[in-house]
Amino acid sequence: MDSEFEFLRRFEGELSARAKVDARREASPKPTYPRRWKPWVAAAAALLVLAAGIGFLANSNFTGSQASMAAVGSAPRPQAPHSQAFLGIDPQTGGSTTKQGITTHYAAGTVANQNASASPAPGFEQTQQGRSSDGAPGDLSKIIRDGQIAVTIDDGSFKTKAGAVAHIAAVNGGSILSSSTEGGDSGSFTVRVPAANFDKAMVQLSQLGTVDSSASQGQDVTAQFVDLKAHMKIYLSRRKVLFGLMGKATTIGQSLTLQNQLDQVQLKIDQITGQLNYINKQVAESTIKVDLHEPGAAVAQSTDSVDNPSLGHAWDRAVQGVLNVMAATLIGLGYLIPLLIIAGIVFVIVRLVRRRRIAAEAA
Amino acid sequence: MDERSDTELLLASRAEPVAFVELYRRHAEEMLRYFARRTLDPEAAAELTAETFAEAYASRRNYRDTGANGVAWLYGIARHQLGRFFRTGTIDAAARRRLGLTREALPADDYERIEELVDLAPIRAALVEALGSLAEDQRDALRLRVIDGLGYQEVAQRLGCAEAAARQRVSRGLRRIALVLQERGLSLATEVE
Repeated sequence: MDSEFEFLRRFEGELSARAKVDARREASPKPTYPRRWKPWVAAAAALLVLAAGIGFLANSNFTGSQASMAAVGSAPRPQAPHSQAFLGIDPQTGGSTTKQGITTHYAAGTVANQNASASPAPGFEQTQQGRSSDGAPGDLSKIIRDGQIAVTIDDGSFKTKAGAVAHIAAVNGGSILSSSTEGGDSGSFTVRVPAANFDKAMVQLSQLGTVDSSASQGQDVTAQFVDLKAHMKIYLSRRKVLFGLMGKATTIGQSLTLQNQLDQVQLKIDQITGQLNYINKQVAESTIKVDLHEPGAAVAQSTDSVDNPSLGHAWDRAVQGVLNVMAATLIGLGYLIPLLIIAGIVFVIVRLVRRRRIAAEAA
Repeated sequence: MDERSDTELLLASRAEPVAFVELYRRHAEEMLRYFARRTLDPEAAAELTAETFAEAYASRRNYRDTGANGVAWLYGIARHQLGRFFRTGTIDAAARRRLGLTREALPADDYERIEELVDLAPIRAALVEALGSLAEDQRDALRLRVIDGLGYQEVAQRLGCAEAAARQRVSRGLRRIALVLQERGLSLATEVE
């Protein structure tokens, strides 16, 4: 450049050097991901992780407050529709009833020192439809209640405690459905007791030693029960009509057709009766899985993994896990986005103020 | 000598960055004059020229050939830079930083040459009027330099300060005058398109 301005000549030199570097860079293959994207990707990932963390925290607080509310309440009450929605269950559809489980977990040792003759320990009481299986007057709800308890017993006391389990089952009007022992120092028992004595039996079992873990589930089958009863009513009236028509049949053809229909209706009635009896039996009796072990003995595996070792179950849990993470991230973003918007507004205002200050100083 | 037009050079500079340097050679002085006439400040004019070319180089891939001369696009960037300068009183160096280009001080000889680019005669009357709004040290420096037409060495002697300080006072005073004239809508030069 032949400019008389040294400044322009110097700048041309710098610009030219930069252009040559860029020309060389143009000739070489470009990286797949430009480096300046990385901070943005990292920031987005950090934001999502933060959102997921906040979501899990918010979620646990929400469920925690629900559990504490349930523990404080003493009167049985129907499950609120919004909590059904929270669990992903449509409260309007009867089909969801078999999936509708209510699980309460107890920390180790919390019920170890309760008096066997006393009423169920505080925090152990099932306030969520727990007593409805007793069949309170006017309460038509049907709840199947199950429980698990793992207890550490004193050294060398396994045989005595195993006998105590049988005794507890008998005292509460129930029995031991199955049992298995390992090495004479640990074993598992499946106990069936009348639902009315479920809480009492759980407390008595917890007296056998130090409770490692304890849980109970309530499965609401009320909708299924009501549905079956309605079907039964329909089929009974249909049978009555068919009987009436049978009396008026004048030909063999009519008689055969009506007989055939009557058989089908009767079959349905029998099926529904069986289902209703099954539900009643399930509701009337509760199952408690008891794990007893002396200190140092191998702890029995969880009933889930022993009883239902299926890939389908694992897949369901995996899908549930993915959905939980997504839900938590969404919840977390719900908390973060308003904060980010406020931060953005503050940033813009600060920047504007700084610009104006600079302009004023320059003027 | 490259025979290609400005538009062709701009388009070619996407794949061949060195082509942009030729564009710079063609228009840098004119651009400097453009800024000098509008800012009245040699330092600001030089800085704005450098930043404009740096910005144009950095965003040369965004240039679209719409049939107009490529240099119009260049002056579009220049106008944008000038507007920001008048609005904020500062000169952005973001494009130069991004490209790794240094911000050097303006050589003393260039300082006076750039001033010569600005024909102060037509605005002398307006200057006298605007001088009243300046600080005393800036006003004295400007009067000696612009109205009396003294050299910087002599201005410095009269004011009893270093030559660099005298130059700075004149520069700041001119920048202030340029802002005042801009606010009054007085055109210091015709648009270069």
